[in-house]
Amino acid sequence: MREKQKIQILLNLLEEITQSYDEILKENQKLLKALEKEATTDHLTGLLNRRAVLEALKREIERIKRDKGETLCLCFADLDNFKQVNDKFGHNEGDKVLKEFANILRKSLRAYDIVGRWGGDEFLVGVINCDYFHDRERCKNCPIYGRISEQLKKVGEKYGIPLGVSCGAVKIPTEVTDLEEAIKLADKRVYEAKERGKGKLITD
Amino acid sequence: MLAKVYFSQNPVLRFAVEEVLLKFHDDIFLLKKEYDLVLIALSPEVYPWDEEVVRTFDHYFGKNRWLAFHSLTSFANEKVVEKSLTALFIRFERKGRFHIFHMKDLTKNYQKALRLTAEYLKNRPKHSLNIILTSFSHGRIGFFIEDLAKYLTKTSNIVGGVASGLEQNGKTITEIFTSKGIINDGFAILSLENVVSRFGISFGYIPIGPVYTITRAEENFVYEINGESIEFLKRNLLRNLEDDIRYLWYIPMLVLNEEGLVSILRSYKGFGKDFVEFYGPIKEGWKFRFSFADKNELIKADKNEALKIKEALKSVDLAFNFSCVARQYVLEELQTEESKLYASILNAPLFGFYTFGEIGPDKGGKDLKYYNQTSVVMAVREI
Repeated sequence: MREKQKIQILLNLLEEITQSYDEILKENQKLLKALEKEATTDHLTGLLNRRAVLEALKREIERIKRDKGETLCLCFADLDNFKQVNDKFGHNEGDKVLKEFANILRKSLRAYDIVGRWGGDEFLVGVINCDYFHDRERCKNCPIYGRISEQLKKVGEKYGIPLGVSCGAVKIPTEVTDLEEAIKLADKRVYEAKERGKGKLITD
Repeated sequence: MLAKVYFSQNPVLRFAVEEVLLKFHDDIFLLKKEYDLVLIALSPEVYPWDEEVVRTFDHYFGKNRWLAFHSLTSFANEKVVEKSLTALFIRFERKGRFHIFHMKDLTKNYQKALRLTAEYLKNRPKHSLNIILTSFSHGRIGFFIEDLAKYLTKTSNIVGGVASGLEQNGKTITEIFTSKGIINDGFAILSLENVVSRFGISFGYIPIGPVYTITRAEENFVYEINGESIEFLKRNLLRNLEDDIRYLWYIPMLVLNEEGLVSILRSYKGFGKDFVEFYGPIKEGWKFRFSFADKNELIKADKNEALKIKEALKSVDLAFNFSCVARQYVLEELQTEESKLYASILNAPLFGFYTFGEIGPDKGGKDLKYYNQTSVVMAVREI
């Protein structure tokens, strides 16, 4: 009795259900992506957050270890005189400066370089296969660093505060091959840059 | 209680009545040829629908000793009969008694009907079974039952069914007959008092697929599902099939409660350009899953319910079954099995019919629900 019709309606239902599941799956994927973004993004600057930037750098170091000839320049950047913005103009203005600095970093680097916020006014940058990696002289007077400092200076002028950035750069794999060590060394160099009067890039 | 069910397929109403009365009087197992009440399932396909019915039944059965309703297919013990007059004769042997309450013009006097019906049901004695036999009432009956439930604290002894009738000029003709006249927008309640009863609601459908949400609905009509016009449902589900709504009865909606469990079922009544009409109320926000009707699974579910009832009541004087016409359709050749199975397991006379909607408590026995595609079975014993 009605076997043919029954099979047809069951087929129709299964097709409808498959479509519905597809839609649910797409929705879930969208949601997952949004959640992932939420979990890896620094809310203020839109850069990678501390956890995500560490993950990205770790992945990159693993790749460098595998692929001979690949390089990574890891930079620790700390804003100079940022505290004055907060103290004089309040935290909202401070946040604006951080956002502007994040934009400067984004625009000055390539899409595949790694940029993240470490916390406060400290940032971590990973420049992949930098053209100046093996040229010590150009590295010390890094044009990217120069451009960034120049733009930041302009931001500071709006507030009448000499904003700058102290940077410690570490070369992977020539100097170190471990992320933890690289960060320690970069942090040490930032400290050194501050000691030597701020607004400096210290490399090897 | 002594209960006997007879049927006649004689197309002349008075001859059909005479035939069942003759069977009653000729029944060699009946020592006392007396009855207190007759409940009659009357096919609208064969018999008149006018005052003639009332006059005939008053004449043969006695004034206020009968209650009749339209039924396309009835249950007479283990048999399923069409185009018939099926009569249940009841004689109380101990403290049993009956009462008939009726309500006309339900749509016009909705609030008054609610109040009076709730009052009537609240005043029934503790040991009673209340059987609501109702007309389709322009599709309002489902709402009425749900609204009535809000007034009641005890619903475990209320069951019923919507008379099954004919579609004429877009109207569903389902009538109830009492000595007080014909009810075509309303209902009658037959209360059997000083009886103990147990009920069961048999589903048996296999849930399939994700959860959908009704996003636009009004009364028995649905316009949108998951924010999309319901038009897609007709287009997708009836693809490569004739435009016959009954095919959709194989895949009824399982409406879910807050815990995600099946609460009620809804079956499809008709299609419009941008709506689907159902046999019962549908509300915005309701969540549902589709399901598939496997006739063997339905029978298995029936059997489980009957066994539970038998276990609880032990000895049964009379059993009722109100089963949906959509269930009848999907049971195919097994549609005669439900009555056989219930009569056999409960070991008692069985009376009932394939309905346009079933009324019964929820599974927990706390709320009163209006169902589709189910089988509501109950058993009674006089005390």
